[in-house]
Amino acid sequence: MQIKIQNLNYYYPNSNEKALDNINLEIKDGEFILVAGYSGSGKSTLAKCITGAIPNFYGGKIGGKVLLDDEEILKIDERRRASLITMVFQDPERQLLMNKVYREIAFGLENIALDEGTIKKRIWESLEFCGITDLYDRDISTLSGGQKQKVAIASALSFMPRCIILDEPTSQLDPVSADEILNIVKKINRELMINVIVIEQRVSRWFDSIDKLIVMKDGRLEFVGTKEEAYRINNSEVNQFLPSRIKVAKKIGIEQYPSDSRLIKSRLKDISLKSINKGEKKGEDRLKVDNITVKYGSFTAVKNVGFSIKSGEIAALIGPNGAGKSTLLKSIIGLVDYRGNILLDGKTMNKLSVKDRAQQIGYLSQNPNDYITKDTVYEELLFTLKNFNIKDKGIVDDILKKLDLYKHKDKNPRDLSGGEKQRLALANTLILRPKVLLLDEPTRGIDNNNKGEIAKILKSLADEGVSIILITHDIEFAAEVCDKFILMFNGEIAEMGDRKVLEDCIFYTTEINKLIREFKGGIFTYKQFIEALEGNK
Amino acid sequence: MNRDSLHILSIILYALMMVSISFLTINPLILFSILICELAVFLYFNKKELIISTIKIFLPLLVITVFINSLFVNAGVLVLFNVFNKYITLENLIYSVLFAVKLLIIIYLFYIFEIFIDSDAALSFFSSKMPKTTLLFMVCFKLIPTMKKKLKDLRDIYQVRGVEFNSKSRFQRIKAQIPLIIVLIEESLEASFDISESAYIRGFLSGKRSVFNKSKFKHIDYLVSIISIISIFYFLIFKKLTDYNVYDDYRLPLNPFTFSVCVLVFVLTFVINYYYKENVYAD
Repeated sequence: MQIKIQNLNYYYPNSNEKALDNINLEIKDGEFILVAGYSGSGKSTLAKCITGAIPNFYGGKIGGKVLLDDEEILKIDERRRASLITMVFQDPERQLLMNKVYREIAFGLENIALDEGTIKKRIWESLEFCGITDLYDRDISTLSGGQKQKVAIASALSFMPRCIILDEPTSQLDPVSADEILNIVKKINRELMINVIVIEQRVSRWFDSIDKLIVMKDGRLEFVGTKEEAYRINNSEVNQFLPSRIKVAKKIGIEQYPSDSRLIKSRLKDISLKSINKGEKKGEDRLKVDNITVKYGSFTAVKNVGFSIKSGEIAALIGPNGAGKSTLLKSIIGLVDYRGNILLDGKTMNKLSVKDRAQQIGYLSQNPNDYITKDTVYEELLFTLKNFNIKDKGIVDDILKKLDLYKHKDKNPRDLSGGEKQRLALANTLILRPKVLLLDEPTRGIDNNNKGEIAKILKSLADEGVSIILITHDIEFAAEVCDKFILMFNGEIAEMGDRKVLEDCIFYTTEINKLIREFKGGIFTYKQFIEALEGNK
Repeated sequence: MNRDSLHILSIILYALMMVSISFLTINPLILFSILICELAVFLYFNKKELIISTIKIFLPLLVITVFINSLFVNAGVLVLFNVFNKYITLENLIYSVLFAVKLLIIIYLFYIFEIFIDSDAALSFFSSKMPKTTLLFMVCFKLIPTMKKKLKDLRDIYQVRGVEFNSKSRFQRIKAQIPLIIVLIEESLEASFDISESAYIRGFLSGKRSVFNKSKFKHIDYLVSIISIISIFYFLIFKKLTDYNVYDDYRLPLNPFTFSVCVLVFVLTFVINYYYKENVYAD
């Protein structure tokens, strides 16, 4: 399907700020498009305009046209619109309505009044195509996040639409499930020739499959072009959204877009790189986790896990979903019952309540919105202080300044951006000046800019002696920030140590390490690559 | 569950019959007949654990009913014992037990609904008849389990933020719930918006819907519906003859009308059970 967007402008209801600013775009039939951009750049808004949800569902002021095969979207009958173009959202929990998988797929097809025979055929075929026929009559609540997202895709595919838009479809998934989703989406585009528009912040996984890259900034199109054009152009906004391996290729002077990573690897062989050695943290053990086992009924989530973290050390807990990472963090803060011993500065914490532990150990859950209950940023931090009977309010200003939130102190926390909300949640944890910080996926759903901010904050906390354990699926972020890596599978630690743990990993490593590891160890991120390259010069 | 299940309307009529009779009478024979029928359904469909778990609810319910009843009602002539200068009479006790049984019958009916009705099929059916109302229910049903899980996660987070949920003061315990409720309300509003958007994108409310696995109104549905309606009217017409007032006379009202209501309830339940066992859960 050919999609044309002409002079598109949009204001959300009750807003005077343009969410989309004069968008002109043409997407050819069967194209695979990747839309990248920082949070608030207008990516999702653009997608919603293409589906017609804006303005039909959202309201607001809209100008310009969206044409699907030369037919204006707002003039297309709702039923035909639903069968022409559909969308998969980022959170599978918030898009699946029915209890059973086959009923979920049937739901959309019933809406467009297909006959029973066609619905049956489409259900089975879409499940078959996505490789999930075994889930046919499974209860959706029993599925994993990855399986739920596959059901959402099968449901979208069952319409046999001309275009599917996917809004950050892998942001809530572990790398294994994310790769499975990529393969299904690629197959939809290549085999069925359905237009695919993917909105993502982590472009690396998708980059090889796309025909066109769109980079958005402040509601405008910053760049529209092929991968090759994106590779040639010298635009810092675009460069930020190139995968690390492509940035490396550009840096070492490969002229044409390297469609095959083997080419980059062969060129890297001739380049000498300086070794990067991150000194090992020295000092006393701050936190010691000794032989911890956690059981949920008859299921053992964590099996005899033991490790220790030094003062100022940052450790990454890595592994697939269900490996026991979050349970392990919860056992340290005392939120789940466990067997074993947890020692802080040599003293056992086993008999301390959650509240007592929280005065020394900070814990940050995945969703920053869970920390918002008050009307101002300042009151939010005061709430935590009051709960611990701390009278000295001076620390609130200190923490707000440290996390660059002081300017927002009287603002309603609900009006903060995603990255700012994450910093506020972190501030709520830091307000008690913890010795140990436990973070459950602190970079989930936030863009590279905000990720950089979080990295800086964590490093500065570590410099002050705070020990940090963080769970992450973002290996590049972990490789940039962490000193220690704990790889968990099936409730057990498979391996633990410094960066060498990642060096020979098949899956849990970075694309730069995969390129370079044969001839230079210890380089995992583009930043480290530049350091090694320039250090050598 | 498949399309051989009974039609949603016939199950609703059956449930309506059970509920209306249970609400309108205190006749022990009729109430226990309904209760036995419900228990038989659970045993027939291997839901013994359900019976055990509900007994745990029933016993405190019984104690509370007896307590409240004896607090306000002093009627009855056969005094069983004296607690804190309050006479507990046999009539009082019988009335409380029957009242608790009534409540148990209603609770069990929800579980029976779950056994006999495929909730997705019901939603699909009602979506074609009254789509907007169904969407509202759909969003609510979807959110309840999610909110339950979310509430547990929030309790964890707020415990770490120093909130004490087990404070000795009741006021403090209630106050501790406020931040959780704020987050839950905001989250559920956002989630309902997202679910509705997803439904809109997939063409919900775009016109008349078709129904997948449409359940036909079969002979058995006619039979169940007719017997249910007859039972309701029969009971209403002869209600006076089946009336029971424990405080006037605690002895059982043994008359043909009471027996015939019991028989109708038994027959109907037997027909439905047999049908499901033979056609729906045959495998």
